[in-house]
Amino acid sequence: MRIIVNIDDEVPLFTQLVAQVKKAVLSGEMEAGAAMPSIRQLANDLQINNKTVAKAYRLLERDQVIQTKGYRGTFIHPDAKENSGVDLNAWVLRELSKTIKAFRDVDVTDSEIRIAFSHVMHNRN
Amino acid sequence: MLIDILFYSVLLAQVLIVSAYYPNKFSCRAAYILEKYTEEDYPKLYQNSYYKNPGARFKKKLRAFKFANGVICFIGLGVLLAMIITSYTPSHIKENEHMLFLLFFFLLQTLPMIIMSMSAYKWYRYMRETGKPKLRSAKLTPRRLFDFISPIYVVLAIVLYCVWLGYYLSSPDNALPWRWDTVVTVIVMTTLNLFYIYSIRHYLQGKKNNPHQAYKDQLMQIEGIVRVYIYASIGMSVSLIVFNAVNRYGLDIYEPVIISAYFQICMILGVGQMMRSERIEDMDFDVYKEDAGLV
Repeated sequence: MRIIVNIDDEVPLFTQLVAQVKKAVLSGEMEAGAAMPSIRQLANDLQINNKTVAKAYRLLERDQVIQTKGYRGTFIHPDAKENSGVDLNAWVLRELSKTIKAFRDVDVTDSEIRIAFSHVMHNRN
Repeated sequence: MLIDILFYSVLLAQVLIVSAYYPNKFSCRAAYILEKYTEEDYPKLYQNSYYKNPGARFKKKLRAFKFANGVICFIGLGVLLAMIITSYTPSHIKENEHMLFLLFFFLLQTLPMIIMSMSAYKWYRYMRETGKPKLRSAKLTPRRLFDFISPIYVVLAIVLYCVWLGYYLSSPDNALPWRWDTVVTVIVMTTLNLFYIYSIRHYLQGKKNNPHQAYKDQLMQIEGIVRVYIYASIGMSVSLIVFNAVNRYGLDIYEPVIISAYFQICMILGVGQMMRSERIEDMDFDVYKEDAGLV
């Protein structure tokens, strides 16, 4: 399985990586339990920063598409095929749209929503 | 008398193998590439951010390499002839403590090869600077040590290092408190082995030197390098065990022969192994064409 990234693309590199790994899992090119290259190897092969690949791996791990087994390395998650179909970004967008619509229905202004949203985001911890 | 003939023969073999056979093989490979894969048809092979005329530059370096090896070979044969005429035997080497000359001569012999390797490293650095591709690809397959070499050799290298360490430190000459040369030997051997580990890791997971190299060729190169370093570690431990045994059992007279033979083994298992692993016929040169796709 070969991964291709375009550094001139508007889509961030880590998103390109995540999308291609998910696509490979969905198409059956990468099967459950298959070993993934280390962050360092993939970053060096693609001539990109280690942190970019690490971010992509973190997102894939969060989405349960891959799993890290300590020193043994990173592998495709047993439920990767089902989990790859879930688009978390689309779900967030949908849920946020619903919430904003509910606010607007009770005449909360957009600037009030923005201020509140910003406040919540800044105090997330 | 027999030991003298043996020493002269082994030294002659060292001169011919290190300064004639392998340099000639290397030159033939380079000349074949320059002739078959021309600058017009394979422009990426000559792409370089520093040299104005890379092809001519490389030919000049190759001529200098051949000349230097020729001179060193001539010096070696001259010295050997002088030794035979003046009846300078291994016992004289030991008596006058001239063992270091053997080491210096070997270092001189390998100097052109070391300079050529450093030039190649610089060449690839300039090659990488000529423009990074917008589209980049990588295989989603991990590269692991045991994909390139049998675990037996790795275990053997570790065991032999431990055996050497135990044997060396158990020698009556190295009884506690340790002398400074005992400590230095242990540190040098350990550092060299750590360097091998670092280099293997770098080649397995690090950036590839040649930006245009095909993935298949990269794997071939990694295999060659892994084998060279593991064999070097094994060879180093075995040689040191033999040296220690020779000293312990009063066979010092054989030391010059063993050292010369060791240098040749280093060359055969180092440069020779790399040449055997990376055969030109198996390399993909299409990646250096102007319209070559992703590698």
